[in-house]
Amino acid sequence: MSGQMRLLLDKNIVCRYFEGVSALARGLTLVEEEQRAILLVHLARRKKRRLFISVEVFNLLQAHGRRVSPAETLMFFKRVEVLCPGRYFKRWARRLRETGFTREDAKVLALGTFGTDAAGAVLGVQVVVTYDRPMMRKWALERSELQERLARMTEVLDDPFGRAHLPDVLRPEEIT
Amino acid sequence: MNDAIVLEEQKGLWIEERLLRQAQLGERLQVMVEQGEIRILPARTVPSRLPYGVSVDEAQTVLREAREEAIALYGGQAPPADQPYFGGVTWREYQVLSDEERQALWDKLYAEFDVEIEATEEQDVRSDALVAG
Repeated sequence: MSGQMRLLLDKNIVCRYFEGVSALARGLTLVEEEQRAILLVHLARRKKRRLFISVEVFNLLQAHGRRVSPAETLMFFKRVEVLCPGRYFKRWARRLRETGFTREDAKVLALGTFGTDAAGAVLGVQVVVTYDRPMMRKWALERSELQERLARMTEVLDDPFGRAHLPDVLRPEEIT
Repeated sequence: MNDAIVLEEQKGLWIEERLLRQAQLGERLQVMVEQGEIRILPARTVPSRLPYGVSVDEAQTVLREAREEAIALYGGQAPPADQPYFGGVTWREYQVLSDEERQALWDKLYAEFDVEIEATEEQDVRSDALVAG
């Protein structure tokens, strides 16, 4: 049972969201990526999706966003939660690094499989949402091999880790 | 180049086509009426593919609500263009950065909070946790 669909927002989605809301507040035209990022975030609750960001992005916004974009930060924080690294996150992130993902990408993708909420009540997300084309291309190339590696790693683990799953990596407009 | 013109309201306003073209507003315009000002902007064309498969009408409503929410939080008026923004630049300066420069700026900010994988603290997960899939 996976419950409500969970989406993990990559840093570049957050960046586009802030740029878009800042432009909206000034009455400017938005580019498509900004519009889609805002729609993704603002419609999530209505569409029964839970949105997450990483601890690193949360800390970045706490330190900088509250100071330079206070309204945008308030609007964003009331719509997202933090996804924390759960048990086996490090082991899986190391595997992803070995496959050639950057450290940042490896951590985001590992969170997608072994991340959990504040209550420890979920494991992983269904989708990592990103505009990062190189990461998406690499994920598509490596996915089947990673699926096998994950299966080998989790077959000896207890629940819920034995059922850990790879997320899809999609752009906002691919979220249905 | 800036053209300063004065328009007199009679039964409406007429703006010459050459001025609209000079402003490079595109073929579709959006007129925003505010207290003390009317702004003519390029139409906010909504992309054809939208998250959750929402309609263009719904998207426009959500974007309008987001704007109103932001303006209300800023005390009823748009924040100034010289307001500091992410990365130690003003919002106006940020606008002229290329996509690559913006990404580099956000990467630099992210690096302040990035930690080695091995230094990451792992949190307990309940045995009955809902597994994505």
